[in-house]
Amino acid sequence: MTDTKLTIDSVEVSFGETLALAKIDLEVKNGEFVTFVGPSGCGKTTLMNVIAGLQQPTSGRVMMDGADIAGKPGHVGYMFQKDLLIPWRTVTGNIVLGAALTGRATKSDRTAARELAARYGLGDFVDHYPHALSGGMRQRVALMRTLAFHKEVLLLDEPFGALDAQTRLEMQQWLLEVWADSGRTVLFITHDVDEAVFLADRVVVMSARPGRIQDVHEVAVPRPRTVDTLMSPEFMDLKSQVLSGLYHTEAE
Amino acid sequence: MRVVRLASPLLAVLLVLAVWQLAVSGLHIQSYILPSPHQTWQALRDDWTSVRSLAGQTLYESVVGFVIGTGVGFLLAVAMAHVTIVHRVLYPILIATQAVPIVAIAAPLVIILGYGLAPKLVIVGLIVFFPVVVNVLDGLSSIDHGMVDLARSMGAGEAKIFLLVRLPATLTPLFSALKLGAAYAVTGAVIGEWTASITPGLGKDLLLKNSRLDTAGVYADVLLLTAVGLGGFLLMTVVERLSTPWRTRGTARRWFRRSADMKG
Repeated sequence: MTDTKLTIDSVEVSFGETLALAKIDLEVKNGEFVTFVGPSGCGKTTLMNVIAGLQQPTSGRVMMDGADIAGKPGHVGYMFQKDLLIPWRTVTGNIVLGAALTGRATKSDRTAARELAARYGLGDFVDHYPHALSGGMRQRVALMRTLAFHKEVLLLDEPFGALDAQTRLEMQQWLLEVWADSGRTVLFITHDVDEAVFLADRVVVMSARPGRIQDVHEVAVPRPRTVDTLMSPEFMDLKSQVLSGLYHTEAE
Repeated sequence: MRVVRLASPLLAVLLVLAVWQLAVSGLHIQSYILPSPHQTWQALRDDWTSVRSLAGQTLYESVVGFVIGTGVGFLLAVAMAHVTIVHRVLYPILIATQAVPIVAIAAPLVIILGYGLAPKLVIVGLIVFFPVVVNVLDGLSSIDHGMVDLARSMGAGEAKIFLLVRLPATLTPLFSALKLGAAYAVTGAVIGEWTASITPGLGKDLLLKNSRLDTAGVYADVLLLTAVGLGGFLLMTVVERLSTPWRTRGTARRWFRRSADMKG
């Protein structure tokens, strides 16, 4: 658990004259769960796009397992705020999307997809089209699609942002369960400080104009975490630290 | 519910026939001005052998013209969506083709293409291709960019993205255009026969009967043409339901699940 999986090395992104990200440095350990919070426009999504290979950085590198993956797609699993399920593919078809797009979804891919769906409570819905699913179910399918893409690093950009509070809490616990099962490294963006602290090993607080890392908080709250964790003193303490960091930035 | 859904269009047809019959008998209209439904039916039956083969000719022109017109329309839309310069150059030209009265260009078409099948196909094609271009362009431009980004983040090439993400998104608007086109194609074939034809067809036959004051025969032809257009529309509706199951169904069809399992 101590070896470094991902190194973000002096990554800068500017759009024309505007500096969107100013010199980001961060090391992420193998199997670590890191959450990112910050005001709108602090460049969280831009940073994810750089790691996912959708955005070429103006300067800097993103090293994963010894190779620079900045601006090169196909190395990480990326999940967006919108579930982006393909309407004409069934649940199974959506889960195997990565395989279908990069080669061919084989019979064993489909079998694995069905098993994944069954394991996480969607076994009766494998042949459903997305429009027949609830919001929470759709997000589950989107996460399964990201898992089935078989990448060791997962980028989750506000995946539960559009869900109601109760579904969101269920999804957070489910995500922790999936994370514990899969042993992947997770980078998770959110606006919700509760969510950031509840999920993370470390919380990265970002600030805007230009986007940069302001603070990094270690979350020493023991796992497994439950609803009770949300009321524990160490959770509250950390949450107020993160909040005050965010508040001071915005007051500047 | 299903029975009501299937029966209501039939009821609508019966209603039209009833109003037609009432108008004829109630207002004592002469049969050479407006024949009754019964007289029309009689004319259709008396003339069935010849009318049937003429309808076959018109159907053939409509179908071939429809296939060519919609195919060209689809390819143009794809090219226009992907190459900006093609879009800029072609769009005004396409609009212009729609502003030209079809009847007016029929005569010059004959000079270029002769009196055979070709000018009719061009006329049918001109009528059906435009809705396809507009709708498919719409479908391609209304794709959620997130889906394309997602596919890119997975390392997919543009060809795969086109095949799996962009192309299926055009099906819904494409079928709207195909349904319209199927109905319009018959009109195109008739116009083609009127203005650019020495070969027989239902449209030509209609003109002939009209000049002989065989009004019942004219109505019989009109009825048959309507049936052909309606049939095309219905066929497209069925094909649409089969090829876009996600719009009307919650789950995939059984046979499709198996074939999807095999295809991957």
